[in-house]
Amino acid sequence: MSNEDRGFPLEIDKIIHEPARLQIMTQLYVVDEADFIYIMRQTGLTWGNLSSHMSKLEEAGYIDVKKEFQEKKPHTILSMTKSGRVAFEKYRKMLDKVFEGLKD
Amino acid sequence: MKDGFSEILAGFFFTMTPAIFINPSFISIFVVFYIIFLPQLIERARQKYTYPRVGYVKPRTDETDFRPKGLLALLLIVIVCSAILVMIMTQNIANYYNWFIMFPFILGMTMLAPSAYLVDRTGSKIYWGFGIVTTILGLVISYLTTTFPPDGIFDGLLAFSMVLGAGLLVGGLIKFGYFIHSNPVIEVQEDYSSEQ
Repeated sequence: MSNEDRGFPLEIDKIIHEPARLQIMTQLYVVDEADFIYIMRQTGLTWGNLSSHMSKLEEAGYIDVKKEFQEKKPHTILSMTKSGRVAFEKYRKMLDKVFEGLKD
Repeated sequence: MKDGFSEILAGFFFTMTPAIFINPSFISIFVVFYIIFLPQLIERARQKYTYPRVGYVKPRTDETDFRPKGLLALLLIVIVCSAILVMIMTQNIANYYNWFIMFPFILGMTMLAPSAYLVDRTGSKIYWGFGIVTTILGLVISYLTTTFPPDGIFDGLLAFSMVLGAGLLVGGLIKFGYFIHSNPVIEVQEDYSSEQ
């Protein structure tokens, strides 16, 4: 199979192709929505780190950030947008292509 | 959820169900309290105790998740197993009263359906335990009602419901206590005013 058939040169989404953001996207892909604490616990990211990556994903239009107050405390809820879901699936297929035919 | 509220909710349901059999007028109280208030109370409790500790997550809903074939297969298995037990315990399958005493077993075994659902949703096989325990409990109560026939035909079912409900309530409260103990509140510095 030639490189062109396999989709090379690769067009890997640089927004998703970063470990912390990939973790956030993976978590949000399997749920409808989740809050800041849940994502922090699942990814092991600090508040500052998560906040910065969250902003980048929001700017790219991949996630939706909803802010509200719960028990008089700020509460941030994250969810994946349709375009985020499409981008994530495309990224996943691209990685599958990279490893396609690779022996164990 | 690890917080025990689902067990507490189910516990309330099963302990309150016998009240309807004792006095059908309780059904309105049951509907108002269980269907309207209790889920709201549980959500408020989760906002106060659960989400600040482990966060909030809404699982992805899959509309094609309903599996009628699986449910029908389970129903068929329940009927066949009950018929076999009626034959073994009473040797008279045609007498409908003998089927009434099998109600606890039937209800216990149908609890395998929510177990299967939870195993499917969470991937944790431990949820089979609930269906197995309820099946065994139903079998024991059905056996006891055969050996010591009660006054009313629904007494076995009521006993099953109350024992199961009490077990779920106690289990839920223990789980909640453990959850609170092992998951401290996470303080996040979410400050909207400082964000750009």
